[in-house]
Amino acid sequence: MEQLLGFALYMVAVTSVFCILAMSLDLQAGGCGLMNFGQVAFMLLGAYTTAIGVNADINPYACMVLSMIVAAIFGVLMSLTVKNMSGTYWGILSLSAAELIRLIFLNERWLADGANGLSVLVTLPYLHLTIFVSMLLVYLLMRTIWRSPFGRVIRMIREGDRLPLALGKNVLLFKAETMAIGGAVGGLAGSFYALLNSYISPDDGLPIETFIVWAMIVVGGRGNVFGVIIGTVFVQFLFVGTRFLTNIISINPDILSALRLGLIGVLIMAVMMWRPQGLLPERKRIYRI
Amino acid sequence: MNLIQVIINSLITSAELGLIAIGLSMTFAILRFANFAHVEAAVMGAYLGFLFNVVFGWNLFLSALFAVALMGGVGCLFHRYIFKRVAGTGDVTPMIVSLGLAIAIRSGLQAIWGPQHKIYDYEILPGKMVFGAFITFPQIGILITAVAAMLGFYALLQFSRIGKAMRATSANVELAQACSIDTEKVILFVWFLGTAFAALGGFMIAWDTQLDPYLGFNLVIPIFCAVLIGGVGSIQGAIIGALIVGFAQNFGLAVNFAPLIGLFGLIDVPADISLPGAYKPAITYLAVVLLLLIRPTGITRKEL
Repeated sequence: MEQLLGFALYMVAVTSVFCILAMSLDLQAGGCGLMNFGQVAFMLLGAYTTAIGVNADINPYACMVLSMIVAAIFGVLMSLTVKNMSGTYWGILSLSAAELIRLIFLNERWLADGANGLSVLVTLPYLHLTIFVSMLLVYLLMRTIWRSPFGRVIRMIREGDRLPLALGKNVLLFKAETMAIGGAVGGLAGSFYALLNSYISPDDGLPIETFIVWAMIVVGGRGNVFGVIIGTVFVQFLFVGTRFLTNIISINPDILSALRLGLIGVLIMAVMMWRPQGLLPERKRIYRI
Repeated sequence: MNLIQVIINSLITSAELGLIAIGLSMTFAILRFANFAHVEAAVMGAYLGFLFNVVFGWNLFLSALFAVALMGGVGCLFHRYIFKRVAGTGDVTPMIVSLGLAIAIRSGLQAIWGPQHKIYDYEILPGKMVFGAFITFPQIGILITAVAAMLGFYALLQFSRIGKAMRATSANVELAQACSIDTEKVILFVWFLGTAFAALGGFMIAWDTQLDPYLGFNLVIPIFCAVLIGGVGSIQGAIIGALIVGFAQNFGLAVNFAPLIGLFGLIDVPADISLPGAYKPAITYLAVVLLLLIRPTGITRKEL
């Protein structure tokens, strides 16, 4: 019973981590229209910053803040590459950039022990609760951003650069700010990821992780913060729940793990084909006169 | 490693990449979205070839032919049942759909064939020494096939009616329709041809090295890099792009950077600084980032 409760707690925490990551991506993609296919880089940077920091005897809470700063800086660097690039091209660029980050962590053994990964040997009191509460705080932050003038401007940018430019908005600055916030939130998710699993390796930063997060926001509904949480919970339960199918039907675990990933792919396709706005579509606010 | 060997290796990498890249470039230009599933279609074609060649025990040439033709048909099915539904919704929705399809194909292949490496069954003939460089028998076959296929593709595009219709559709869909070109048919043909070329490229790579479900994973970015360098929709461009990527990958590893970093003797550096082999993919990733930074809308400055 205690084991089951522990697992349930862990699941809540992991799902919360992915909720944070998905909300970060939703701010960029659903909010500002930045097709970030390198979202996992934020997580990887955040997780490695925390891991390296903890191993260097820095206070874990300070490490969380450091992770956010590092990932936010990377976000701003990424935003410098946007310029007036179309969504498709920037998508390919961000995918490449994230892979570069992963390759560096994989090959620079002096930095983070290469493929072996780093252990994060620290136990924080109430870590699961901290993560859950942080997720709620990020949710509130996103809601606030969404309703703020800033949120209105980035949604306008999403629909094309011309109108905001005509209104005198500094589009690049807004994109940089979006990427900074998205990066900081993604870095926090990465930091939690490392602390929760007590381990981080370059394999946690494969592009497929980005696409799983994409599945979460696509299923839930891009541009609807609550929908994104629903989508994350849905995908996470589907993905984790199917892992235990081996106990029910006799199936080779290798085949099952491949099929589980395939399910994510089919899910992305099916949602985009039949319900492109997601389970909970973005709500358009109408200002009645 | 001697220079001729590096050049030959680069040419072979370029030939393999080029076959996949020209198909992608064509579909990119006409369908106007980045088809991430294109590269996985190449791997799927390679596995179909394996099915015919090893499981059914057919001749290698025959298996390649059937696999390529069949994959062309599969490409048409992708269009008919998947991408046609999301046509006209901008470039983002089909791109995300293609991502989903890519994941589904890769996982499906892994579920069916397992993660082990596979090799084709063919009569092994001795390789040749050319100017002091070694070239294996499959590599000779790949070079010949690739050159023939690319010339054929170019001729088709330049001289045939359907090729003309394809170029018209890629330039302007509405105008092409106004000239009574059946653009739907053209798009279907592009799917057929593009996917068939991808399958041919995948087959060649698997023949040269080995076949595993992660083959496509390492190809996505180099292929897109080749297409973007050459300019979307340009066949010659895609081939030049593939040559640049192929040479950059092989030369990037073979070059000793010590003189460059040491400013030719001004600074004391170790005698041999070359890029570690593990960074081979990084060369193309970096190339993509730099390329898109210098030309934000792509080399051809074409709005997508």
